Amino acid sequence: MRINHYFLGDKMKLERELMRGAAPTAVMQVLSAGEKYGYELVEALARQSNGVLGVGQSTLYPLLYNLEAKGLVTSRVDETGARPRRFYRLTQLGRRKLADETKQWQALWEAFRSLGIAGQPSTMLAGGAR
Amino acid sequence: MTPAMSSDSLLRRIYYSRLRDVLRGRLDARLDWRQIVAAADLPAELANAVTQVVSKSRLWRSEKAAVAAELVAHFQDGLEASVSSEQLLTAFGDAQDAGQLIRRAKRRNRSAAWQLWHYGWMTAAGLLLVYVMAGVWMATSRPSVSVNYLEVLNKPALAAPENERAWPIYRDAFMSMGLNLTKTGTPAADFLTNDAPPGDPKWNEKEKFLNANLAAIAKLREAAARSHLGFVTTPVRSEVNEKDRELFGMVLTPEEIEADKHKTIEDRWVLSTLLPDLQLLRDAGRILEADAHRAAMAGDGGTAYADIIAILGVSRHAEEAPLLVAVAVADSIQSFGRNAVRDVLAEKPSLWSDVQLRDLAHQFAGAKIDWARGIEGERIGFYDSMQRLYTDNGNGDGRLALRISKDQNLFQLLASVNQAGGGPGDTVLANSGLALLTMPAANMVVASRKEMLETFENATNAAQARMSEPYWKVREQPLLETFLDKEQGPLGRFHYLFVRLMLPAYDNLLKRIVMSNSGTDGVYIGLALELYHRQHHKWPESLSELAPQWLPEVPVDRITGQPLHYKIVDDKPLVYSVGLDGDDDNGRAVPGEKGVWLPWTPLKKDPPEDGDWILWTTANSN
Repeated sequence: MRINHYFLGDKMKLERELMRGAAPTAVMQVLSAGEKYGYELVEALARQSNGVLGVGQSTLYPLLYNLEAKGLVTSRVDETGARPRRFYRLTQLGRRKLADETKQWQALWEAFRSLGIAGQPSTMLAGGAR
Repeated sequence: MTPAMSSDSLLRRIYYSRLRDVLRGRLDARLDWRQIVAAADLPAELANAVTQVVSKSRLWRSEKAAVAAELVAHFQDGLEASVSSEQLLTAFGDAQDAGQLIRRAKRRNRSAAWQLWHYGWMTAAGLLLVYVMAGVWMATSRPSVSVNYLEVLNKPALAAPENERAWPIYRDAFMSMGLNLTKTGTPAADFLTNDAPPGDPKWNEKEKFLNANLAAIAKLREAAARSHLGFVTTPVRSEVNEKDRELFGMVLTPEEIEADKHKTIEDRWVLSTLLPDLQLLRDAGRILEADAHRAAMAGDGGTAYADIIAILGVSRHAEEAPLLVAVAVADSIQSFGRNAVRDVLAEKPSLWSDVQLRDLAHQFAGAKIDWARGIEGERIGFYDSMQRLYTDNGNGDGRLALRISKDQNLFQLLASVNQAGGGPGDTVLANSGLALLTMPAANMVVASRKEMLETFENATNAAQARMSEPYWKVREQPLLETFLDKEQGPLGRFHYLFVRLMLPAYDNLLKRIVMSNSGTDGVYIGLALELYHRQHHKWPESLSELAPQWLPEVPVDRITGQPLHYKIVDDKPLVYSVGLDGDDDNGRAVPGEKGVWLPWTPLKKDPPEDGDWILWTTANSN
């Protein structure tokens, strides 16, 4: 049986407010690799962030709709598969926004590291649950 | 998408089909999100979660269908990935929250036109709510009438000792002459409408009336000699003395008298006070003027002299109530005295002794019209009105109030003012509901209590400052009323609404004052000329010869500040001012000019009429 990373309950979860700031960037980052439908996005986020950035599905769809309202992502319905699916992909505006936010997160990361709060990302993630 | 089920009713299929499909005849009900969920064949708990989310979202049908399809696909993908329904539900989170979040997000996705309409509507509704609440709030507060300005107005009358009050004697005289405010078709009424001079056939009728009322006219002189008028004014008719009510023709029903008993300070508005005494005092002045003429023609210099002194006394009494209207009536009465002096000297130059002539000059000099008193009265009237029209925040400010008395709202009052001015009296705003809704707007447009008071004060102070200056120094200055025009825009004229309604036309008043004062200058000069003529048996070459023996100084033309014009015509002196137009018309009088510029009439902005003001002449007394 394939167990999705997202459902691994012992992984660290970010606080709600921190997640609210990080989730849009994380979603855009995942979409930067190519278009994805909702469930695929959930899986990718959980897998790529080792569960830390697992977005609750009740907030994922509103998040996607908000990004769409801002013109950062666009969507299309594909009815050719087993079931109709809505695929989301990053727009040019979304890419620019992602680039900006990536810089900001990097700056933040550097600042945290200077303060001794953050180490290597892998260390952080590995030790986060303990 | 899910095709329409055959069991769907036609109406349901139309309702859940897109408009463009309906127009094409395709009733596929593809917007029926419940069918989408049902057709997905999800486990009951997942189907229920989707239903809850979509129901809670309260979106448009097309949006709901899209959300339902996406969530169905989501759960189907999860099940296909071998995740259990329970895990999927746990990972999904709260369906209610999801519905609300999706609603917000989807609405942000709607078109700009919708956003504009939606938020515009919300904003308008919010503003309307605030507006209505403001209207209700404003309707609940009432002005507080804390100062009884009517008492201030009546203070001089109330302070007069009973035995020094002239009014009861005047009243007896008026009653015995048959003179009252309902006079029509009576000898008194005929007399007062008869302008005939001596020699005119109709003069005999006047003389007949005067001779028939000599005792009453003597009473007028007796009253005029008293120090105070002692007439207490009130806006409450039942409080008027019973004898006065008869004189004024006031008939009250028992119901009206009973209703008056419940009147309070709120009903004692200075502006609505009754001043019926003024008309009768004016009539008294005219009767005394005619009697002076009659006495002069009969060779009775003493009575003619006494009548003129009495006219000045009546004038002084008329201005007892410190109101501009009263002072204007006093000025009008005094003009009867000026006319009488001129007429008597024209007809009988030697009737009075030198001493009497000198004394007359002194009497006129001592009977200067107190215009400042009238202006102070206007302030009292305005303060009183402001405390009735505005609320009081305790710091001298406040906002317009809707209910200004027990039975009248602001708009009904304004309508009645408009009606009094000849305009229509009806107003839809008499309806309290509409009036209530108008109040916030009215408060936005109309100046606050403090600003209204300050504006009135500034205008009045400016007028008083001009009054203290010689007219020739201020006549070229911009009109006083133009300062109210600084408020621009279609509603600008309403900003100082009450100032506009209640501020006297000070520009008119200044003209009235300068003409009145010029007329009195004419009397001084005329009396001095007569004295000069008696001593020298000729007229002086120049008015300057009159000073200092007969005049302390010769008055100048109040329009120009230059010497008055003087010439002899048919061996009679003619003294004139150039008049408001400022140019010398060689003594040609302004046609029909009576010199009556009422402070309450609209200011005429036309150029002043051509002609001069004749200040003194005995050439043609009429």
